[in-house]
Amino acid sequence: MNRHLTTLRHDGLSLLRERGTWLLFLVLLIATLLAISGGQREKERIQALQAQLVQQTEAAREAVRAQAVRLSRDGGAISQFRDPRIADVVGRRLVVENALLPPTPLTPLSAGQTGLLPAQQPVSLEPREVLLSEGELTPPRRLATGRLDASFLVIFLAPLLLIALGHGIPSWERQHGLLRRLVIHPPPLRRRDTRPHRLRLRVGRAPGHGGALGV
Amino acid sequence: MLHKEMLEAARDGRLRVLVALLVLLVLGVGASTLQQARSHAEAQAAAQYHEQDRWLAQGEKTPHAAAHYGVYAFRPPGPLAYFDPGLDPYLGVTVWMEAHWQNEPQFPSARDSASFSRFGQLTPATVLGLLLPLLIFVFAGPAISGERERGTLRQLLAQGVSGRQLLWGKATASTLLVLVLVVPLLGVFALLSLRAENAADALLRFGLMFLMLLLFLGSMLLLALTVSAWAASSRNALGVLLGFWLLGALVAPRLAVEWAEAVAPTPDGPTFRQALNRDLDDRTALDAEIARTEAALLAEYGLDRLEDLPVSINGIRLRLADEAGYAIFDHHFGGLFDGYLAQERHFQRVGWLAPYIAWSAVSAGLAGTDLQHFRHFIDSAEAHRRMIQDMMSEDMIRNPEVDGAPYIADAALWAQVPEFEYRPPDFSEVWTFYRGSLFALLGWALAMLVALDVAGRRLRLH
Repeated sequence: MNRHLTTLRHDGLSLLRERGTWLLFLVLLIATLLAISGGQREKERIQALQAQLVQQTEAAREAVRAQAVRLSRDGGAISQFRDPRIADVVGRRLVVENALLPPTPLTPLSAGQTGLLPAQQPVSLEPREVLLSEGELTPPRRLATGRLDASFLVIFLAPLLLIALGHGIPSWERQHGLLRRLVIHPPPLRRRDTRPHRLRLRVGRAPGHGGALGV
Repeated sequence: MLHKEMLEAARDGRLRVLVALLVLLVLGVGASTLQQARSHAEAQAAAQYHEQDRWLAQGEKTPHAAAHYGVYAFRPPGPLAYFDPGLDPYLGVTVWMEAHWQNEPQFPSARDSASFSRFGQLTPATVLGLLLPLLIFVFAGPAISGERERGTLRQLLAQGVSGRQLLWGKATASTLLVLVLVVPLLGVFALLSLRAENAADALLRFGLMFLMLLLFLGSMLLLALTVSAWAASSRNALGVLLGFWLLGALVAPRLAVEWAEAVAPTPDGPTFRQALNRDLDDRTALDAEIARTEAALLAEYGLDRLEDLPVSINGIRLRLADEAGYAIFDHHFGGLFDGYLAQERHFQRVGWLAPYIAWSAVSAGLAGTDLQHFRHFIDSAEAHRRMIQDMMSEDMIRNPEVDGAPYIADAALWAQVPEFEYRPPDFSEVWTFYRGSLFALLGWALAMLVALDVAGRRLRLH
């Protein structure tokens, strides 16, 4: 167990001493901040959009009600397709309600292609309103490129950075003769363990890297 | 130098395996995208054919009711969609053309895809533009730094080979290897383009695609060799190149989109529709125009009652309403697409920093699967819709109501409406939209040539 810990500490410390590691940390940190703030903005955008829709519907309902009262009181000519006193016309065109799909609490972590599938759907007596509803108008380039969100970091960026961090370490050590020295003489962090530990070296290395990246 | 490099490459087992995998990947992915494009084209042709049948068989009705009956326009895939589907999956495949309304395009195929597709579609263009540069970085990255680490660089330089000769030799050998890999693959796709409806345009597009790909891959190769010549170790060279690839190909496009949207914002759906409806609902100018026209007609025919006119006043009113609508749709839909295209231009500008962006923009443009081509389709469909509206209104105007009974038209009128046949624009008509990316790729290639030459001059024995 001691040798595992020794190897782990050796690799962790040697990685943390490298400038490249800190550069990768910095890249990952900036990307994480960008991703989370981007995800949060996307959640707020959807919420604002849905609030705007609710407001629009309320405003339309009020306007239709006022117009209906005015027409009933004062009379006046109006097309049968726009008459607010006819319930069918109101339900079909004048006041179109929307079914809203609110963002989930974890949307900031995985905004994904929230613009691809509509987060609102008109509820109307008019099939045209429902069938032709395309929801949001997300720029196609945005949909094709995707978002820099936390799930992108976890699935794409972090594994690649991890590979960049650790891909050449054992082979580099072998090329420079360090691996042989390391196998024969374990890292003398506490200078008390000198037995060979090939397997332990391999087992200890991965958590060492994982730990370093986890920092 | 050339002989040595080619020999080393031929003996490299890893290279053989990875190249074989890449070839299989391109061919496999190409077969899949070709199948998708063919199935899309067949579905589009069949749907358009049946749509014409439906229009002709709609029965007897007033021309205005026929205009409301409407027809669908179906978008065919781009000329080289099998090589690079580009934005195609995210663009609507159909538009309903009906009276009074320009409708939004509908049913992008990406909505039917699995959610993982948001991380990008594997296509021949992405394999050659995204994964092949990675392969180039992995193999060309240690080209000079590896020689330095093994001590053979000093030997070579001591034998009188200059740094420039060494670098240009490696660059020539690597370029030949890339050509050996890319030319047969692109040849297969070029043969497919001969079967296109407009084969001359498809071949021109493919020829330019080939040149742009070579320019892009050549830049990446020269970059890898330059970094390798400057780097203290192979590990450093690979680290720098992998970092460049990560940032340039994966992170930069996402940030470029954010930037483009911030610089050229476009309205969201509810805002767009609210503004459009508000303008369409405002009939003040239209009512005044209708009143003016009615008065002018009564004066022209010397009549007192609109019912006595020898033309249909309802037809004239509808035509005036449609004409008023055309300007409103041009303003709103034109503004929306102008905004999208402005975003595309900003996106392309980032290609000067990240050449993968320039390559992907040019590739989708050449494949006819980008926004510029999409807008051409939308404009064509809208022109067709307006032609139908105008034909129906004109027929109504010529045939006024008799004793209050509306005029009824039949299949003879419907048959006069030509079928919607979409023909994508020739590349020569739209190429200027991509000139920023074309110049960016050219700029990168020239810059990398200079950088490699400078690195070669610095490569000395001491």
